[in-house]
Amino acid sequence: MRPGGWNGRAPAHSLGALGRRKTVNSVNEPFYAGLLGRDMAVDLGTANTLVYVRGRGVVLDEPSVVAVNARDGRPLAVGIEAKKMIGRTPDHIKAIRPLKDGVIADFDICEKMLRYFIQRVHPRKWAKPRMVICVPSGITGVEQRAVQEAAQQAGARKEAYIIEEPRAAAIGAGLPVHEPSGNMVVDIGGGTTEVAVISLGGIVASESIRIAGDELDEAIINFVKKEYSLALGERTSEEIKIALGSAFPLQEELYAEVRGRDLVTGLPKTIVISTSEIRDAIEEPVAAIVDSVKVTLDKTPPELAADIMSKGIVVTGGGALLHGLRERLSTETGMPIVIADNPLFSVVHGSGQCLENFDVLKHVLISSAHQYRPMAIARRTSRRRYVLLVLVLTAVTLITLDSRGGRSGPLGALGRAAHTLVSPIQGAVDSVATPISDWWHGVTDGANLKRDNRKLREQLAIAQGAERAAQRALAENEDLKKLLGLNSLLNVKRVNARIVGRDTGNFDSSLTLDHGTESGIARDMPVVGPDGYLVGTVIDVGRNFAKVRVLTDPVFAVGVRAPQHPGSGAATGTASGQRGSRDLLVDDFDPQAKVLRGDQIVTSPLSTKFPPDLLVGSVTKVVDLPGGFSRNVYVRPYVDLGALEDVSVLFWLQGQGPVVKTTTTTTATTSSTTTTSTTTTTVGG
Amino acid sequence: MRSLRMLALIVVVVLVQVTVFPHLRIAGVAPDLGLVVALAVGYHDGPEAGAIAGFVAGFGFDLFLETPLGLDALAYALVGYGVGIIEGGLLRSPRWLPSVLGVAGGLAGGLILIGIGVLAGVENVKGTHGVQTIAIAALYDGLLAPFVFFAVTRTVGRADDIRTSWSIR
Repeated sequence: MRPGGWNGRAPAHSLGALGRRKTVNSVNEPFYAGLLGRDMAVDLGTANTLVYVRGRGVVLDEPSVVAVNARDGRPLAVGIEAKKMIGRTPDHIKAIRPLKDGVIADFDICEKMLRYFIQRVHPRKWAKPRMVICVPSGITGVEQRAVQEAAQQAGARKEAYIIEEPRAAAIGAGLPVHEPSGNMVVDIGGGTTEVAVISLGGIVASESIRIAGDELDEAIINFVKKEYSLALGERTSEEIKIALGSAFPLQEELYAEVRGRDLVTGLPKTIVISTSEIRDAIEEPVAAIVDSVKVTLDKTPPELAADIMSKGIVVTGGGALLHGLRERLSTETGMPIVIADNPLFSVVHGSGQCLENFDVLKHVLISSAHQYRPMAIARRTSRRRYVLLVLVLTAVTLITLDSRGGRSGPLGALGRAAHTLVSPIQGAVDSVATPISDWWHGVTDGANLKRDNRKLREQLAIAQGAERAAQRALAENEDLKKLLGLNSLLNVKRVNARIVGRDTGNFDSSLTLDHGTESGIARDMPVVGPDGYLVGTVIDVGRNFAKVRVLTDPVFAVGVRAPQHPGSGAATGTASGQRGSRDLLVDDFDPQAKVLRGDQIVTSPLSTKFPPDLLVGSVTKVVDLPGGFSRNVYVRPYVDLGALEDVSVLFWLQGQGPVVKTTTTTTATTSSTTTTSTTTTTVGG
Repeated sequence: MRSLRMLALIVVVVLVQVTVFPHLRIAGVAPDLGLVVALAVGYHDGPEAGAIAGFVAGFGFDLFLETPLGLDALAYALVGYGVGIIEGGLLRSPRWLPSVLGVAGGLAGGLILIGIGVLAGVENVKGTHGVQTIAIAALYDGLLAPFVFFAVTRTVGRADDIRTSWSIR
């Protein structure tokens, strides 16, 4: 027997070598070709699958067989290994040929096989390859879509190109398909026989029949069963066809021993069979193939027929290797017959040529992205965009509404409801997490300890300066109070609250407190720390939570004043937070007024939002701007927001002043110590 | 059923984000869990699902923030959609892919956030401070991404099981 098979298309022992062989070189690729992924052409044949990679040639040739574990549906082997299993598998393993008659019969298995082959030859991780796939010319639209979807599922780029097999075979056999002359090609594959007359790159007349190599195998099985009562397997019959099959009487008739199972006795048996018997057995399918050639010639326009008469019919595909086929076709049609140089590779080489000269040969391909794009995919894409558009518009509308009208209306109510639900959880997590959080800060900010230490020393020095200033201010304050008859903060009602959430987002410097309207907290109430330092104002409040905008927030602003130094006027201005900084900035102090580093800054009596003389911070830097008309005063807040855990909300309503305590509430009792210290500080400030 | 489980996951993630992660800051920056969920969903289920999941997660997070409502929703939705598109161009998924997507997605989401924030007049996002914050947040996202991807896969399952059924030999 010959070592190679024609239905098996390539000699079995050369398969491994083929995987590494480079057949086509000297292709000028752009330098970025490797990044984009290599384009590939796939001859997805009934019997064999061949893959051609642009710039590398045919890199893969394996039988189109997948062995599947029937229990869980997982593939066990693909290609040559799976083919060896045909007819030799236990019950739970099935060797499946996913293609039948040139088209996909088992979509899932075919897609898996294709994916496996692609991954074997395409080492790029990032890009999907552009892919050209060969299909029989008689394929229906549904079948074509199945092939394209299988390719896309298996990892091809969105547009998978389809090429009809006879065109690819003609290009692969080196026929001048673009010239205005007739070229006739007969491609006898495993599942289909394609006959086509091609001129100017287009198919003029064609015939596609689903009779080819597989049919010959079946005919041999049936013949041996009928004549010798012997059961043969698919692989044996294929071997018989390769060794003994012929289409025309041979000069010397051959004989071969064939082993199989006797259908009468059930025992293995050996018979001797001759080429003439096999010729009779396969006569019917061979005649059908010859007929299809004749029919195509019948449909060919006379000018082209004349061209073919002089050039001959080119036969490609594994079937071209059938003994005596040339003589048979030649006798029946009277035409000269040429067997292609490498008939097994004609189709894949032809589609490979389309890749190499993609721009030139593009028009012979059918792109899934354009003409034959399945409706479903197109609809999916447009729906996808529609969804995104709706989401974006909704978000933009929300942003606009929210930044225009503040947190009010249904959106504000929704936010408050969410906060109300989550606030207890935040409280619980906070009490559990505080020690963990401290540890975490120690771990992630360990390197900052030295810096922090230095800063603390600095702050200490500032505080000492502040104390001296406070002493000075004390007398002044007492005098002023007497003069104006102001209420002391001692009498202002307050609620103590714990901070359960801070800076929820990265661009959100706010605190969440665990008390809300239930405790009487309302919007715009000032919030102070345990020492009476200003922390911020309430900006949103729900049943059991309040959100506080801290004084370092860029949106925050508070009227402040600096102490009056001898010989200069009082400085009042507005302090506001700065992005990414811990310091507040006052940029509207009177340039004439004297402000020194270390000066204590307190809330201004002119401010209606805050009680007067709340401690804000101390001056760290005074920068006189050129021209002497303005100066920037930087103020470091006294309150350490990072270490702050408890705060007090002062019942001070904007424009109305304090809500004075009438009865001692429980909240007030628990906060008595804090109240005292606050009062002291206030009096001092 | 899948979308219900997805919704439940997003609710849990938003809860964790607003209760736990404010305590687990690195250099004062918290990660964007919702953004990573949008990435994971976009990666597994495609652009449409990624955009919707991102919008829902972002909106949920927005409810707790003082930044304009819808800012995170928009950024997350765009990033979820984008990763779905990118996924369409990937043939394989190496193990470290979630981390890379986390960092890249975090950066993209942060930049979108800053861009829209500036347009909407959010003071806090401007300047180098904002860029530095999103860079740290993106790295943090990359760190958390493998876990979030795992959680998303476990919760909602895979849209197509085919991808993993073949390993490369």
